[in-house]
Amino acid sequence: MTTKILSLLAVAAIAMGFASCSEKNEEQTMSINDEVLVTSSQTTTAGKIYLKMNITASTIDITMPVANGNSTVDATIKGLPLTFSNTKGYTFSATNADAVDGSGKSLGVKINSLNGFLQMFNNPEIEQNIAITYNVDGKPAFVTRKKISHVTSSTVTDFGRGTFECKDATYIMTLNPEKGTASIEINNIQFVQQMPTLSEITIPGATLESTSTGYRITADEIVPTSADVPMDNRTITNLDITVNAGAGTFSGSFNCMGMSCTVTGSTSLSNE
Amino acid sequence: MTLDQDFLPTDYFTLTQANREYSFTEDLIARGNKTGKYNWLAGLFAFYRHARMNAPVTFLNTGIAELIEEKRNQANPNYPIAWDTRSFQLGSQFTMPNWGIAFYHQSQLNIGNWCLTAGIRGDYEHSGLRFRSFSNTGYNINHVLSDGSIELFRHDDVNIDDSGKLDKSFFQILPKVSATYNLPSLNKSSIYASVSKGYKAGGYNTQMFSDVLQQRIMGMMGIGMNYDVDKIVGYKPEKAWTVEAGSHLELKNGDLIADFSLFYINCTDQQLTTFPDGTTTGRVMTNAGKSRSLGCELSVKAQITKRFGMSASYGFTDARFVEYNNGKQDLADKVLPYAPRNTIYGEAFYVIPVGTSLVRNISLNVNAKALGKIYWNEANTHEQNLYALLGAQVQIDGRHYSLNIWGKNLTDTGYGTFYFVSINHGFVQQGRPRQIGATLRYFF
Repeated sequence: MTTKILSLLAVAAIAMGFASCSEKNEEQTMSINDEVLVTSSQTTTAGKIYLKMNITASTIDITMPVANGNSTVDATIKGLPLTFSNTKGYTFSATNADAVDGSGKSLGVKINSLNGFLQMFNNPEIEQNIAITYNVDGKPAFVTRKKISHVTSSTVTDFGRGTFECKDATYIMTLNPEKGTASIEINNIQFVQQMPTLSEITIPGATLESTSTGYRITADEIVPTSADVPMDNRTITNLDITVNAGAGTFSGSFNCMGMSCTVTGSTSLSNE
Repeated sequence: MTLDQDFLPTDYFTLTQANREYSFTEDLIARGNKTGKYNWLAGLFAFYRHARMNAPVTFLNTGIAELIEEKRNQANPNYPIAWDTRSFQLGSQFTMPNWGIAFYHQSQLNIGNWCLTAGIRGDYEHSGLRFRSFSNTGYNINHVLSDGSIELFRHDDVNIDDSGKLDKSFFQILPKVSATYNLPSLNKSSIYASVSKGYKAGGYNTQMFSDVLQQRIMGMMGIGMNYDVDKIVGYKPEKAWTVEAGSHLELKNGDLIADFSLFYINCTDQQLTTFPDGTTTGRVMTNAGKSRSLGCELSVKAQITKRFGMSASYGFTDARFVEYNNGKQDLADKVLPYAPRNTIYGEAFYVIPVGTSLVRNISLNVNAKALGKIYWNEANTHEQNLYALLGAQVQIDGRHYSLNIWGKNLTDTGYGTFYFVSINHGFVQQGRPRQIGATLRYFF
């Protein structure tokens, strides 16, 4: 009886050993397809991006539209080292990268100074962030999603007798380069302590321009909406926001109800 | 039961709660031979509890006007809303299946005057919550034109039907050790010391679901606070280590009995009832970081003559937060709410033997108890000072009956027993006033 029990235990131990080996050999990968905006020479066009991450090996393959002369080509850059942080998500970079086509043949495009990040959120109401900056043949270019979610922000309102800072708001910028417009959706914003928190206020139809490092969103005067209802009493004037695509940050100012607001924000989660 | 949940004369809202609960418990105990130096007991405990609750909150005219329309219209006065009806319901239905199983063992070793005890309990508990939150209502959004006239901008329906399922499991090993020394010079007297681990399982808050739903409706209109549902819905288990030392003395052949103890309790994730910010009606069980309690208890009972006796007891507790930040304030060193600092009791009793066929004896008792200071909230901004209640009773005992004529709070002392917040208003529940009554028992 004792012999039988020992034999069974030995078989179980071997089986467990095989199981642990196979778990070690299993790779954790993740693939993401997304629609993006590609900006080079301050001209923005729509495109698609494909990211294939090998979490186990900490590498990422990127397929994205890359400016090549006057046109764009889908270029794949393979095996970039991948890192992760709780605040910034997945980040990757390359000093020099060899771009290849779908069959692995070099495209002869020189890509350097590539930096990028991918952020995914547990909150279903906040879409993921993707941004990549790089130089192609020495010319700067960058890729972002059409919707950029800045989950950390500071809104300082100067109401004349003092200032009030709100750190709870998120700023989501939706970009429409075809129409040259952008909207800014601000969630959980409180301008002054005596006013109620607005769960959502959207600034629609501001002017969108591409810059060498990101975008600029401006408007002289816009009536914002909340739950798709105009808010005449909170007309926004002198809106001027600059978005830095690669850093995932924005800064700027606007006026609302006679008060001036200075805003900064980031796609990175706060450490607090 | 339908409760006026705002506790005000104006019609804000009511809560209707219907509960149905079934439970089953079983405890199997095995014991060793008590006559030897070594004694033991072991057991297995299990329970199953199934509760179903339907708890809709009905918003009424003033509640709709002040808590919804007014707040929304302040934010956007040029597009004011008007609710379809002057009452509507926020529905909440819950099914809560909970079950648990525990095994326990205690060993006791008697060596001379020493009695050494060690015990262990393994406790597993599973807590489930199935919820459904729903509301079907709507409102008009109007537009105030430049000439002051009003036109309909749009009508919005509010159709919400959310359901979900949550489960938590908890497992704890709870050890205890104690040592008792029987004093050889005093009969039935001893000193003791013990260390033990205590535990209260976590669970789910159901009271806040209507507030979360209300804020969701406000959010659909562009205003309101977004509650972190994960933080509001559940709370963690509370764990505590208790160290206690004391004595039990019987003097004068048992006519004088005195008990004394000192204790220290170190608690992690203390469970605490709090009232969230905003115009909420519900309460939330949350966890404070760390707390500690230290104190002492003393009781003395004296049989002065065959018929006359007295007893008195005193307890002192200093219970404070060690680490607790509620997101707005650092509450370290604040006193724990609902923990009385002093607990005092005294009584005198006298038995008159009558010895007739109708009345065997008559017992007289006068007693007084005092409680306080009690803090009602974790910020210690509301409190109940020490108060005392006087009581008395006359008990007539016969062969088959006893008649007890009693009086409680004979000085009609006013005092509070509970404090809560509803829509930013604080309320204190008053204790019972003077009461006089009689209790008749008949023995078959």
